Amino acid sequence: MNDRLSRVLRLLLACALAAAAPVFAQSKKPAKKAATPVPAAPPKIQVAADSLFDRRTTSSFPRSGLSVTLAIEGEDAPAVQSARARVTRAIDDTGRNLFEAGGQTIQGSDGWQQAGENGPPVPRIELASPSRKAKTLAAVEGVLEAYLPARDPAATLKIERALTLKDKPLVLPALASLHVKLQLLSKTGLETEKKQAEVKKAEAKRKADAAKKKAKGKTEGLDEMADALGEALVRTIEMLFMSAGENDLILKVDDPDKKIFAFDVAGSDGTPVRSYGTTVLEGYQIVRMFKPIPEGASLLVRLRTPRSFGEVPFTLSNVKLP
Amino acid sequence: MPFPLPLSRRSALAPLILLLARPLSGAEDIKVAASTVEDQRSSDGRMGSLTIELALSGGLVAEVKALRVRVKSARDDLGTVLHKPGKDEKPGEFEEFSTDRHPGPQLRLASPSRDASTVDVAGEVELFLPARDSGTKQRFEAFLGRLDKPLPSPALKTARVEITPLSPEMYKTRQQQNKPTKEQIIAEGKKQGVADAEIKQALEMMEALSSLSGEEPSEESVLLETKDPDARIISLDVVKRDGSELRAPSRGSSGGRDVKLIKIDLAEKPPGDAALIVTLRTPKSIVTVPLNLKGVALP
Repeated sequence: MNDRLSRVLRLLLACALAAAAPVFAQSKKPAKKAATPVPAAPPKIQVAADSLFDRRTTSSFPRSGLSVTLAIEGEDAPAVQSARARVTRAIDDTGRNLFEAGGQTIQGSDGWQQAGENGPPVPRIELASPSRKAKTLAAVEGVLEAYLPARDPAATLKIERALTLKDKPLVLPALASLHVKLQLLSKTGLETEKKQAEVKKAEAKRKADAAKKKAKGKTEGLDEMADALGEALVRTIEMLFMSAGENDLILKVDDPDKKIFAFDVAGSDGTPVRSYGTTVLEGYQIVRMFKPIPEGASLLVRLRTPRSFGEVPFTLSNVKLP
Repeated sequence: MPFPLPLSRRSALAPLILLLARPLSGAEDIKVAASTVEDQRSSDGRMGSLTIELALSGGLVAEVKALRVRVKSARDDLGTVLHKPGKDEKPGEFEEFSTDRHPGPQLRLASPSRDASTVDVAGEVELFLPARDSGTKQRFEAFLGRLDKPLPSPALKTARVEITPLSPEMYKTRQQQNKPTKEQIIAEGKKQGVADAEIKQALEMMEALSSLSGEEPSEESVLLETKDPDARIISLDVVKRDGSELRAPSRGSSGGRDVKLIKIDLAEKPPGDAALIVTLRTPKSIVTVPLNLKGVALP
């Protein structure tokens, strides 16, 4: 059960889940209009090797590789909500080059790994397979990118009593200034979305038919395209229906400039309400919750601001291979 | 020293020798070799393992429908023991086999030394060849018409197997009865030396996942409960009355040999007169071949 538990947890927590984390800083004020960005000092964090997984195989697919999980330590480590690492150089003690440009597949859709209940995030780097004769990783160099919303009050937008605001657009000047449209959806709201999507699909089809008629058949494929687009929208909503759990938070998100980094939930007393990841589907996000969201909870919208991000170079030397 | 025959005579005798040498069981006709080797090495010692995929060859391979690998010893070239059978370890389950199934059958060992270059493995492979015994297939007509009662069958009784088609209500009741309690999970976690934080996470995850839908049986579902202490059941299939296949895109099960709940989700609602085909292993349907892998190169 030991291995299985660890594996199940690691898998469940890592697989196909993007952004959203429980560790966060609080902000009582809505985000102010972005002034001239103030470059933030590098965060006081250090990077160490936490664990290594050397997958060696005679098969060509999936091929051999070495995963190194990193530990984030130091004064600012508890404030790191998300982190990801990129490698610039890696060699084993036989001199084999383990750095493959573009070969670093990391967790999540964009590689960000979120903090957990027990501490800072544990980002992972993927390297080429070391020699069987190698005893150590002689050197791994890279840069750790960290998201620390606590360093910038403008990075967190708190929406009080969010659960009472379901199924209507959240009208907030701070969101509007970022061109963000946000709506919390109930299952009933989702049903309405589905109906609207079906109407849109029919409308698109009707317009395509009309255009085709007008162009006397010269718009070949237009109706099929409209059909496919409408179908995709309906399918997305159906997928939301199928995959959303009873406790989960469903959000309709229109964020053309990608200003939102993640969503978190906090109880009325500010205590983090833990989630286990976010599923992103075209225009919608599902924040996966372990338990029902308590009444009076707030939604914390984590924003991408220059001061909330920091980069730290790191070097790992003579790390023993398993 | 054997009496030498002229080459031409030896050639002429070859087919006869081959014919006489072929054992009646056909066991020697199947050879087992190592295919893909995967060595998963982790700095967290609990996670490492060596997996060797087996490749079967020989004229009888097409007849093999399931198999079970039993390792007796395994060592790397530095002497590291890679197989330590538990005290009360029962033989594993038979797994379905076909030549076009990938990956093929595998055996899992402990992690070899990083300095090792090769491994040796000895044991045996039990092959299930149903064509050798008509008693391996048991057919139960219109089994959906007698829910919540064990299927009456002397063949099942002899094999110490009990199969009960379940109604959705009984299936849900059984699911609740068989679900491990929080206390059981905590106790098992502690027994296995899992950290408290990990146990807590597992409990929360279980709770969160149980709130997701998808576990509910539908009208396409066939629900069964099996008791099979000797792991005699090889497969369970649902067919139409005329014997034609009812496709099952998904299957799920929970429990073990003592009691197992099975949900077979068919592509269509099964007709009321659908039949259940139970494939059982019988002594006559099993052929055992040696497993003798020498100097398997480590990646």
